[in-house]
Amino acid sequence: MPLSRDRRIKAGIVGYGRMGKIRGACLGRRNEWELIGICDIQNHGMGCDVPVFREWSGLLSAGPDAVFVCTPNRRLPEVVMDAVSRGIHVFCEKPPGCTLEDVIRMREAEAAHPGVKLKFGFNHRYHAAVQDAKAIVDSGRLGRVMWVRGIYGKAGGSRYDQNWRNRRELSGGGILIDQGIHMLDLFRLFCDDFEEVKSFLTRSYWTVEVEDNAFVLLRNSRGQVAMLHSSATQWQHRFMAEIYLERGYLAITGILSSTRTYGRETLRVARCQYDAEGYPQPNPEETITYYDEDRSWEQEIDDFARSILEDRPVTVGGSSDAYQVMSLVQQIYTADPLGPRSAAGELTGAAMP
Amino acid sequence: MKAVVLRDDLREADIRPEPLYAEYKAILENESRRIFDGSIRIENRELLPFDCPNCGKAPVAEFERWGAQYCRCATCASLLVSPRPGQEALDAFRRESRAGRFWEQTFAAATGAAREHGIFRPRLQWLLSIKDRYGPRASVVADYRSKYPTFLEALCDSGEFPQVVSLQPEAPWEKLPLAVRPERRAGPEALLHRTDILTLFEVIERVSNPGEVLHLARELCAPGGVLVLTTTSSSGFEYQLLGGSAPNLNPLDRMNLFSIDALTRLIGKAGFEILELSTPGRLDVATVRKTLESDPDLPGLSFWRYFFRHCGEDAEHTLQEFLQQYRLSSHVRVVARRQ
Repeated sequence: MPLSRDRRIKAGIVGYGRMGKIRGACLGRRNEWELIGICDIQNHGMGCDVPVFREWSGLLSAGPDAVFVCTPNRRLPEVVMDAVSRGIHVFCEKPPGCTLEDVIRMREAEAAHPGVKLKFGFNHRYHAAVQDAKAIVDSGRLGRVMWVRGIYGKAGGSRYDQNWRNRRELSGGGILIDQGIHMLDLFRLFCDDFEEVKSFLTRSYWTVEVEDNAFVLLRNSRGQVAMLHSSATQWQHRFMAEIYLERGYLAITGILSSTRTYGRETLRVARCQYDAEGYPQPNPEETITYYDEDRSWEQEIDDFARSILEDRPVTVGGSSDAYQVMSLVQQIYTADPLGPRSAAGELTGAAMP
Repeated sequence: MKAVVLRDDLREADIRPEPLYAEYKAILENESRRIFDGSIRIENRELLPFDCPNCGKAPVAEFERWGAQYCRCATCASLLVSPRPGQEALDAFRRESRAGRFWEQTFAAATGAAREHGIFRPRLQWLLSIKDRYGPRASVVADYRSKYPTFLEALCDSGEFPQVVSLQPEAPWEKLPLAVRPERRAGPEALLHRTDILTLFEVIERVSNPGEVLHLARELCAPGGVLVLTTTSSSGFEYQLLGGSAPNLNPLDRMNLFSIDALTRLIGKAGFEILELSTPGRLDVATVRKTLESDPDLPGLSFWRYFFRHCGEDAEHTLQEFLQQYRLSSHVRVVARRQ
């Protein structure tokens, strides 16, 4: 049931680590929301001015209208399903669980409670460069998308090899499901779904049980090809998404992340220029847009609030998007028959000082 | 907010070719001096002191140019001509002046192709991208105080905007030296609260009361309508470095040079939310180089003389792009949504 528009949405946060804190800070900046409690098993909520629960069931029983689920991947489905079954709206961090099966279970719970809104945190769709690029593609002025190419890479990070994100039972996979999934989601935004999948997954450096690099090729029935390199050995952090169309191109480089280590968010747009015979000339004039502020977090939860308050369907990051992107992730993991493996065993971990 | 950089081949020599530009400036200087010393006869030509519309304070005299006194607002650093003629007098001058006729009949005609390529084509692309991003159903586009009828025709020819209108508050139209087709002409009252995209291309720097114009802009825009504005800023490289020696500082064309901060606040005060504020100028560096080459006595610019002597064309391109990236070019463009 939609809430009365004249009251705030009471929200809880399950999992008060890095993402939980980001979501909590964002809620505090929006008038539509009221944080009524958090749940964290590691006492990350100490010092908060709202009740802190050790068990999520306690928080869900405290009467929230909506809950933000920011736990490690393995825990996400059970918390989501519990909340949905109680009629509580849910915002679930990405990835949507560890496996496609997790998404299917969450969707079944959602289908059994049609009034409940379920949204997943595919936050990159709300970045201004992505939204501007989407508007240009949708205008059709540059023609049809021919291919897209994405690089999303980081240098692992402090104690990367000890992070829960690299324990398969907790995360479901490595850098691909953790970070590369954002780029896959953007590929779907610009090209819709893909049917053919090829991949190479490697453990090139880190002593972890999951991949630290994923090289992926996708193709759909319209002949559009997408190429992804997702990396945890990109020593210089990098985000780049290129969209090449029949009459021009778009390139997003940098992304205004919470760490600000991916560089200034930038969108380059160029329209092909043609010679006298109508052949495209190289290096056309470009318009480059630089983005100074990241309002993606606010826009994302504003969107969620509108869905709740106005009883609108979740159109960005809904469970259908979650299903499709996790389906891709699963196909990528199975497309490399050997699965994550060391490219050169003697290098694994040994390169660390 | 976002900032835009344009990478193209626009050159000053193409849009302000010499000796034509020098001839235009000479005519304008002569007329400007006569307006500001009172020897030219126009209606209501009394010069009035002008307070900064952003801060409400009287600006402080900084330098004289072509008979006009440029003053700096001590608070927001905007550069403003004070005292100045009222709008009626300015309109009368533009209708009847030799400089205006020269611009329309000689200069604009001679530079039409270059302006079409270097200014109007990117401007059209910009408007299309604004429509795509912020107003996909935009049907009414109004250009306030239009200067370039051919641009209006290009807008119509794009087939993207069902109604393109030129708004001239200084009607009657018959007296204007503007070849706007009759079906595109209107007075502001016709479009109150109806305009989806309102364009003010190089308007607020040349009107007597820019704050009033921005308030009218809000009245013209439909709810959620978009204001598109270009102007010249005192924060930019050319004016920061050259001040009163800036070659394009023509008092009647550039009466109000707001700083970026002031412009941001003025637009906000008028009831708009700024979506983009960029300085995608491509000519600052070339203009400064040319000025230093032609005036070896300009003081305090030894670093820049060194730069132009030793660093070459690549460095100049890089510098110009840097100025664009960090909103330091003198040419400003703004997209704002009516709140």
